[in-house]
Amino acid sequence: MDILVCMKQVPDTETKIVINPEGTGIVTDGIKYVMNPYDEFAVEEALKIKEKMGGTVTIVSMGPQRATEAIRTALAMGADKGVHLCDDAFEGADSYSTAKALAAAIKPLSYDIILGGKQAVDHDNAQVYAALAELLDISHVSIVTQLDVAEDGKSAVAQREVEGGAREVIEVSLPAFIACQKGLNEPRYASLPGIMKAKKKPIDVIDLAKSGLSADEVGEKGAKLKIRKFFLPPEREAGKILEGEPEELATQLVKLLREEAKAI
Amino acid sequence: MFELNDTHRMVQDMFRQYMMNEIEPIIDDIEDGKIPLFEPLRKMVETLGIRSQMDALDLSKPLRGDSPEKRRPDPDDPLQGMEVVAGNLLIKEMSRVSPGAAMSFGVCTGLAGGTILAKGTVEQKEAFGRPLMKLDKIGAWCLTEPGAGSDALGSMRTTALEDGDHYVLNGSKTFITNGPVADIFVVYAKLDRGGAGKEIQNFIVLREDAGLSTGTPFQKMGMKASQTSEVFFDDCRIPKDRLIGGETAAKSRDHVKEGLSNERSAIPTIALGIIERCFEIAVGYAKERVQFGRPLIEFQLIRNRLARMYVAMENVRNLFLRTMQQAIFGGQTKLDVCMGKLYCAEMATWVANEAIAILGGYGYMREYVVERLARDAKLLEIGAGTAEMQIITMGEELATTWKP
Ligand SMILES: Cc1cc2nc3c(=O)[nH]c(=O)nc-3n(C[C@H](O)[C@H](O)[C@H](O)COP(=O)(O)OP(=O)(O)OC[C@H]3O[C@@H](n4cnc5c(N)ncnc54)[C@H](O)[C@@H]3O)c2cc1C
Ligand SMILES: Cc1cc2nc3c(=O)[nH]c(=O)nc-3n(C[C@H](O)[C@H](O)[C@H](O)COP(=O)(O)OP(=O)(O)OC[C@H]3O[C@@H](n4cnc5c(N)ncnc54)[C@H](O)[C@@H]3O)c2cc1C
Repeated sequence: MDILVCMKQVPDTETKIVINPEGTGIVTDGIKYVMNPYDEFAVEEALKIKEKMGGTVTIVSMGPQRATEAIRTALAMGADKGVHLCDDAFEGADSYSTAKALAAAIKPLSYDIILGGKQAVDHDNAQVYAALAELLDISHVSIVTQLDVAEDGKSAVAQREVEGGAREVIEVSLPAFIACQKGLNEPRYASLPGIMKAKKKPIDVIDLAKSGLSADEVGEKGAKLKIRKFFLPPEREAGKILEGEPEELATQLVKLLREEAKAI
Repeated sequence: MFELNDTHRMVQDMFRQYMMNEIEPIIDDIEDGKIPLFEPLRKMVETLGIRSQMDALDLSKPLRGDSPEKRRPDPDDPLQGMEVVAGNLLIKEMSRVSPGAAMSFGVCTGLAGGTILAKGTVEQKEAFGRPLMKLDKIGAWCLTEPGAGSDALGSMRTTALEDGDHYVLNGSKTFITNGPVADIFVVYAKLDRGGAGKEIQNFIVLREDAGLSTGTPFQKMGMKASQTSEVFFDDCRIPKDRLIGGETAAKSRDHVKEGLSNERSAIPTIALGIIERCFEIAVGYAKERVQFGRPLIEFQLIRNRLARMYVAMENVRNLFLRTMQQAIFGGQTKLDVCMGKLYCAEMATWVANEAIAILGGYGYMREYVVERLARDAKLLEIGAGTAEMQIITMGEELATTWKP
């Protein structure tokens, strides 16, 4: 099996987000970046498929220079090689122009299955995989919590979460994109020998020229979506505690609901 | 100046993630004796791939084949000295959560296992050294005696009497880390061949050897993750092939003193783990905690504490990096070892106590971690030679060999 994993490097989930003064993005100074947690499930699942069926696991990631750290982490977990879409032109992408670039990197590769997280925890769009599957003309199954690849590697049965805790069981022919959800597996730690070996594994860097795309198809220019403003939800003010006899309280409460909260 | 490279940092991140996810949640249970420490440690060495590294060690060759002079920094080799760096990072990251766990692990692998790997015969390395490095067996390292602490070598009473193809050990050891649980004991004893001289040698004694017994675990101030006890030898007969290094073992005192340097060199590493964690907790807390209408970090007196703690942390970090550099490339002097041990141990205790102060009443509570690290830190000033012993050795060096 040739297994691809789409992986993104994102701010650590414990990051305290600060919006820049212009409101055009977040302050990135001092942020620790990690592998998108949902992508960890994808890497783990890919390694499990490889362990069972043989083959190779290739990590595909679009991101700035620093994203190589996350690729190396996946290689240290046991993936075989990396493909890194890295060019200033790719910056400021939305889900669509991200999918566009990923598709360009993936098309020349041989693949039987593509795995990825169900969403990246930075923008939380959860759209890249659907757009990517469309561009590659393959099926996709989202929010997958269990996956069984058929012995012949031609199809897979995936369980996905639906409303109310119910499960949907889907059989899909391969290649397909599988968007992984928490619960699918328990991602392994990178091991010490794994990290040492990762240092020598190849990472193929793809810039704009190598991707075969033009500058206005990718990044901010190729985006269908323009982000106008970032802002944080207003800080919650302390609640009010009313005091007095029940009758007074009721009068006060009605007054506040009408005049301050404008709820009635 | 030696610095951590990207690969080292990746190893550090991975160790940290493991300690925070897998050890921190159970550390109170370990300290309370509900979980035997070596169970999670065994899982740790398996998961992190340390066991497989130890399986791959070629024990037929000396541990460090090349002489220190030949080892030159190679900027193009990110894996140069990796075994030293990874070992130290593991101890440091463990110490951020539990210096006690780090001490027990370090005694088993670094002191007991390390002594056998450094000086043992190939057979001893295979039979006893490798199982200790993999944590298949638990090791103890027995030097201190009830009447021989700081003057461990001079006042030693434990003897090993040559008797045909056996040695017979008599004596007792105290404050022995892992004593209650160890399978393999590396024991310092005076070898008595019937002649006049009695040189100190290292012997391997096994839990099942008749005549060996261990006391009940001591109740301690800190390092509660680690068990400590007395070890007794009562006409304990061991075959002659348990003399570490065999009959050709070096006969000078210096050969047993090397182990003592090893023990001291680990102190900057444990100290840095304690200091980093205490500092991070203290800064985080000072930013959140509001008194007199403002976060603590806005008060000058708090800033004064934090600034000084930061200085201590970076000094200790530099000594930690320098100690690793010397372990990889050579050139470590007695002054270096004693300086690192003295300063880092004192700073660990001091920073941990400062962190408690900043957390106020909360710092005194178990839930807030710093009290555990502070109690553990105090041992760094006592074990591996007290502060006074470091100063005495340094004074001796400064008066004799040191040159400007
Ligand atoms: C938790 C724990 C774990 C330990 N683990 C081990 C272990 O695994 N293996 C092992 O062999 N040992 C171990 N030890 C023992 C440790 O190394 C000794 O406690 C240490 O060397 C000090 O010896 P002592 O306790 O007998 O103190 P003493 O030597 O009696 O010293 C008492 C005080 O007198 C001072 N002093 C002594 N001589 C002088 C002098 N000439 N001038 C000035 N001051 C002096 C000392 O600095 C100290 O302050 C452990 C100890 C503890 C507490
Ligand atoms: C075991 C124990 C028993 C106790 N028993 C009692 C009891 O019986 N009854 C009771 O009422 N209380 C009791 N206390 C509470 C104790 O009095 C408080 O912990 C203490 O007053 C400190 O308050 P705090 O813990 O909220 O720390 P904080 O007030 O939050 O202080 C934290 C740190 O900030 C420093 N700080 C605060 N303000 C400033 C400033 N303006 N400038 C510079 N530094 C500042 C403090 O000195 C301290 O270092 C007890 C506490 C403990 C730990």
